Amino acid sequence: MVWGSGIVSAVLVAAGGVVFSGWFTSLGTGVFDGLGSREPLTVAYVSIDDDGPDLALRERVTAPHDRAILLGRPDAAQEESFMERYRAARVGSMVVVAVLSGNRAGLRIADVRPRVLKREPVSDGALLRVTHAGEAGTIEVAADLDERVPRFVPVKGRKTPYFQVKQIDLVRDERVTLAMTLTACEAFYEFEFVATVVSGGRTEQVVIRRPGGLPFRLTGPARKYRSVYGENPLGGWRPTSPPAPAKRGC
Amino acid sequence: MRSRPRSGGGGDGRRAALLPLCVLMLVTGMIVLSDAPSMTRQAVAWRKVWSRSLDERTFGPAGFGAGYVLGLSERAVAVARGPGPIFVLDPATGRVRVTIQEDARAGEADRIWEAGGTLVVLRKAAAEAGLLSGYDLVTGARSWGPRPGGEVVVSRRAVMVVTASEVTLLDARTGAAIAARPLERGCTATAAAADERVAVLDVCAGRSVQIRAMDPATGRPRWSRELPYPRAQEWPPGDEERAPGASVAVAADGTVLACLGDAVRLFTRDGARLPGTLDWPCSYGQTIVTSAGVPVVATTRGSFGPYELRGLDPGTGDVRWTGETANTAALLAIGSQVVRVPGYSDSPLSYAEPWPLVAHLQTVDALTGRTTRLPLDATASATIVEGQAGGLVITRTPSVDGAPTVISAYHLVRASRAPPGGVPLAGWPDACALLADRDLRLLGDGYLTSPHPRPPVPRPVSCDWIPPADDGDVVSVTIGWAAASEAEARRTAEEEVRYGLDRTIGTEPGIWYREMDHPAGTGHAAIVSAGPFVVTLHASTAQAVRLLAPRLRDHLRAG
Repeated sequence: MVWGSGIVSAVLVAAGGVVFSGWFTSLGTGVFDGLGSREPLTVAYVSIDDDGPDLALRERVTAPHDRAILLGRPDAAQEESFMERYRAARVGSMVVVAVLSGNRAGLRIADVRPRVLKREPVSDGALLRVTHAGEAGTIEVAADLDERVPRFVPVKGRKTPYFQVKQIDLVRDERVTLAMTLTACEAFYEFEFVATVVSGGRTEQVVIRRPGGLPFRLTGPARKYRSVYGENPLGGWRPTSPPAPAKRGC
Repeated sequence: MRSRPRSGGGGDGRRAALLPLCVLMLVTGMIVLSDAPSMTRQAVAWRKVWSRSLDERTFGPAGFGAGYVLGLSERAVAVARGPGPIFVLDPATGRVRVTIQEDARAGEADRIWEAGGTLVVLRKAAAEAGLLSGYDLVTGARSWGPRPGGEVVVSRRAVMVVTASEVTLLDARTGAAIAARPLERGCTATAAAADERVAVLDVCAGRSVQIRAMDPATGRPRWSRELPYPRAQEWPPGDEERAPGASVAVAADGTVLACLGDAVRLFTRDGARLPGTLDWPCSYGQTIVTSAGVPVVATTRGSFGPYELRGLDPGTGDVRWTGETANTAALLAIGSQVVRVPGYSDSPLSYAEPWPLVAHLQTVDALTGRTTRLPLDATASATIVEGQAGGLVITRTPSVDGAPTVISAYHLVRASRAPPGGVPLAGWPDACALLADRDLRLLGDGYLTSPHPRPPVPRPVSCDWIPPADDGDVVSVTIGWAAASEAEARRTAEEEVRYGLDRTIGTEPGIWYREMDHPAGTGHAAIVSAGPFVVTLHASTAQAVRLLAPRLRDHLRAG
């Protein structure tokens, strides 16, 4: 599994919906401020698997300015905003890695689960086919967003949800790295993660999202895409043939 | 084959990691050349002190893929390739002082160090640990060995060898053991050394971690500390029995950095723990240098955070300043400056184009954290930074068929003001003006011009032309460098042609047609040199490049 340069920042949303200010981006220069130390957990970093699967956009790209971004060589900020406007989603599966750090003398992470915020038909506006140079990593635990209540289960072996048999205990400043794999076949999802934390007899919930409080996105593959692009060696994307019709893994 | 980072549902910018570097290289490099404060002596330029060309024939036949091995110290620049001779150059002049000739059966040199006037050479051998020998630096004669190798670190006059079963300290001049310590079953050790200090980190799986510092002259322990054994905290759970990742580094002044699992600890030369808040994790090859009394490290901000340089307070370990860096690559202390060694991920910066074409070295003032990036007189594609010897930065060209390998030494010039540079930023042309509408009409009508400014260059350095239909030819032009003269621009272009990743498929005056292989297909490009400028042109098809490159050159010439 390659954790390359695809660093995104994390934002911590408190149970009451208050958004913390202490987040940073891959381009940021701010000093790590420790975030809100009164919260049970600090979400230190969130990274999304870099070498992941293809991307799907909700709509076709036809506006001249957007075509220049898709086909040309935009800077990172232009591209990020483009992907956001077209609600780009990984197709089929994705891996999210979060590093949580304990802010209590002792606490227990009783549960982490994805929470679906929005469910829509699969994205079929444009498929961006990523050229793979390496092998995909081994998935150990995964949650299927198509389930009514998505939970993490080991991919191999039993179907018992992970957190029914094991929790994570942290002392102050101790860190845990969560590598979370998500899969989807039937729909387009916007989602977040909810960690249930027990400390000093109190139960709190910590929400893990992308920078700026943005949700994660994942879509099932479409039977047919309205447009298909492949990587261009000189940067950007160029039209290419559609993939084989088989719905991979679905 | 590398894969490029990709953007996605996460919104992680595909070039997020590359762009800041590109931009910064130009931003600071250029600003410094035009805007050096006049009161204090600043790092203002890299001056080449010497260059030595080593022909492949010099080294004799080397096996496929045999790389160059350099050993650098105050006294020697040692160069080896394959099983051939080892050349020892004078760091001040680059002249060959002595040649060490060994029987080819001795094996290929794998690592080379210098300690106490002895060249210490680790050679590849059937045994994985290799074979270690010492050679007199003046006569080139073998003075000891071969003996079994291992993990080797050297101090001013001693050599430490760590194997799976013991830690041994050798006198560098004679090869005799000064001290030895067996390792307990289930324990491993890793070591680091500076001139006057050696540090060893012992990790006993599931039990204990201990760091010991010793005097390399006598092997006598100076201090030791027990460190808390880190618990495995990963999810999904991995191999929790496995020993945690551990490494150790020592700065020239004896400051010790110990990396254990997810935590970094710093100790003064006398073993006092520096209590400063260290919210950074270990990374592979973590190094520490001390410059002007300030320990400087390159680290990430958290497990996946952006990289940064940190200058630490030598008394408290607190962070005094932070600076940007592209990776945790090695650092060199030169005077009061810290020079970052560009790593593999720096150059070339992407498949599409290295930008700018000319190599820049980042230097940081250890006291203030003030960063400058100054150009070398070589392209990034032709420059591998090997390290420092006698206060000079030593570079090497990559091995390319039919071209000699050139070793160069650069001196960091410090002065109150910058020497006159090349073309001022205001003189860089607008990349979008380098092709006219009538040029694009050779490909078709309806092209959309999309400029890409890169501050502080006032006009766009890069420009895309987007065709009306998605499957049309996308054309892109980037100004790679503005040199001091036409001759220098031409030399820069020729160097890029020789050492760049692409291959040349045709030339005409001032133009080199290029092709590059990529997992997604073949890329088509041209390097154009006209006036003081070196410009790259990319297009979706080779035909489009052929049509437009001569026009681009003519526009540049017409100025």
